Formats: sequence, C-alpha cells, structure tokens
Amino acid sequence: MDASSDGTPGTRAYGERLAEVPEKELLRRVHDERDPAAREELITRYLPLVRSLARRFSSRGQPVEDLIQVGSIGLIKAIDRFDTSRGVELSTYATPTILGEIKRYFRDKGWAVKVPRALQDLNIRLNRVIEQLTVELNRSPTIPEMAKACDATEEDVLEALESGRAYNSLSIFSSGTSEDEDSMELLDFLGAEEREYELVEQRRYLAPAMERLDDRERLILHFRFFEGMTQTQIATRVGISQMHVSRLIRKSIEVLRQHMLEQDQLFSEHKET
Amino acid sequence: MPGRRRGDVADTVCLEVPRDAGFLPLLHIVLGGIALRRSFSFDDLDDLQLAVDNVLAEDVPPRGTLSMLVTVSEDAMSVRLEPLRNTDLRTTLVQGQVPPGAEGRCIEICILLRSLVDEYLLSDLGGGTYAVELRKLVG
Repeated sequence: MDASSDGTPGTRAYGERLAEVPEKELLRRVHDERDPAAREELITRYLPLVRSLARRFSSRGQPVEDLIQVGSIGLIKAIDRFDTSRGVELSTYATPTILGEIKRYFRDKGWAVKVPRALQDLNIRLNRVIEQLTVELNRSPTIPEMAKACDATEEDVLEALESGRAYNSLSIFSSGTSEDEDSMELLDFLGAEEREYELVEQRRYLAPAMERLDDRERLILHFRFFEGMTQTQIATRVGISQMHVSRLIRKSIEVLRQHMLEQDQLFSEHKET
Repeated sequence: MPGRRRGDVADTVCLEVPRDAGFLPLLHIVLGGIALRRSFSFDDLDDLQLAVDNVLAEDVPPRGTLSMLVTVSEDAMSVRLEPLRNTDLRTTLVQGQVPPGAEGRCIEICILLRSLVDEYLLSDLGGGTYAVELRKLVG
C-alpha cells in the first residue's frame, strides 16, 4: 500500500483525516500517544482564537504578528497542559493561557534592561505590598517592613526597587494598564486641582516646559513640589501606586530637563548669531 | 563599608565611583542599604535618591570621580557629593534660585531640593570645586 494514503500517523492522508477527528480524540492522542500531527491539528484549529486575542492588543505598539507568535506559545502550553479528565473545553482553558502569555510578553518588553525574572516579579509584588502596608501603617513603609511582607531579604528588596527604575516608561504610560485606566478616570474629577495648578503654571519660565507633560504628570509635580505632598499622599490622591508616582516624577523631571537643555542650546545659538 | 551594627548611633560610609550615569544605581543601592539601618521610609529614601540624581544631573559635564559620603545618625541621613564643578549649579544653590537671565533654561533645582530634602549645604573645596550636602531627617 502507498504510504501516503494508508492513514498511518505521519502521512499526508493521516493529516487530512485529522481535520474530521473530534477535539477530545485529538487531545487524547496528544496526551496518550504523543502524536505530533494531532497536536498540530489542534494548533491549527485554535489559531483563529489566538489571532482574535492578539488583535485585542493591537494598539499597544507591538506588531500583531509578534503577538500571534507569542499567543501561539500560550496555545501550545494550553494544549500540552490540558487535563482531559477535568471535563472542561480546551477553549475555556486556552483563552486565559494565551492571554497570560501575551500579557507576560508586554510585561517583559517593558523592562529596558535585562532584569532577572525573580527581581521583576518581586518589583511587581512590592508595588502591591507598598500600597497594602501604607494603608495598614498609615505611613510609607520601611525597607525591612517591605522585605518581611514579601518574605524576601532587605537586599533583594533594594535591588528590586532599583531594577524597577529600569522599567521602560513607555510601557508604563502606554494604554492598557489597569492602573492608568483607573487614574485617568480619576483625573476627570480633578477639575478643581487643575484650576489650582493653572495658577502655578502661570510661572512664566516653567510653563513652556510643563506643556510637554500630560495633565496627570503636571498635577503630580504640582502636588510634590508646590504643595509639598509626599509620594504616598499623591498616590492616594491620584489613585495610582507610590512606585508609579515615583516613576512619573522622575520621568517628568527628565522631560523638563530635556526641554531646558534644548532652550539653552537655542539661546546659545541665538547669542552667537 | 561601616563596621558598626544596625542601631548604633552614627555611621559614615564613603563611596568613590567614576562620574558616569551608569553608576547611579550603585549609589542608590548604597543609600538604600544605609537607609535600612534606620527607620527610613520608602518615601524618604526615594526622595533622597532623587535629590542625589538631580544634583548630579545638573553638574555637567561630569568629570573624574565622584565621592559620596553618607552619614547616618539617630535622626537624619546626610549625603555629601564632591567634587562638583558646574558654576551655574553653584550660583543657583547659593542664590536659592536660577540666576537672572537663565530662567527657563535651567531646571529649578532649588525647588526640587527644598521638597526632597530638609536641608542642603554648599561648601567650597577650592580650585573651582565644591561639595553639596543633602540632609534628610528620619520620619
């Protein structure tokens, strides 16, 4: 018999027939027989789901094709880890796994320099821990308190905090993080603060540079440097974490400094001519 | 590094690094390591680190090596940065504001420092160089 038409695993005929095989049977073959063709068939069937989920993130500055690749890894993980005895559909299990893989990709892309995963994770945990401890203690926590709450060493906490500064600000400010979405909603209610801020903006020299910042950044700088509020107080007021406030302050000062440098260069050139 | 144990009355740590922005994380880590020997909050530590970053960012062009001397006592942490050379920064810190004519072209470092630390002092080292000391109270 011709090998291409005998329905043996690995042959073209076998692959063509798989398209008609029920999903549960394919999963059984993947797990019981380690059948690569069955695995491939499942991947093919679920690629439209991966594409659909990847497109949800299309506005975040990464090529959709890259996101589909990343999502496909999530799909493969879902197929390989799926437990057929649990009585749920593969799609139910695959969707969060694919989404998780894409989100993880965005999180990792956010780190401007290579930071070990353990430190990245600790930094993210610290973000929450600082918020929790601030509420519990009614003040900004100390490093030992943060270390204890994270079950980490004080040195690891310091390193994780420092590594957080390597986080690419672009990813923090791009749309989509829940923290940003929440705070932008909050900004809608800050009209009174804005008017207060406008008084400060009238400071002739700062105004042009401040225009380079968005509303929230200007507001945060105003709170910190003109109202004397602490980062913790600003975090509570604006509705974002203390670490996020810290990053925004640093980023905003850097934007201002850049503007000043450009002005200084223009001034020098003008003087020369 | 200091030989005293946590909780002792005063400690002094001196660190000398090349004047390169790549060493800022090291300065931060050292400050953090010392801060945790006292009841410094994350807020206060971040303020002090930001103050150091901004002073150094204004001392352009960076040249030679930087000495960071950190002293901790029961109630405060002081960071002395030297030698600094930028004359605009020096004038600004002495006068407490950006010099007339330079507004809009210099970051208002005094406004930043007044918010970030409790006290800042400038002392002459001679030869056109100076030191800036930033003092932050605990709590």
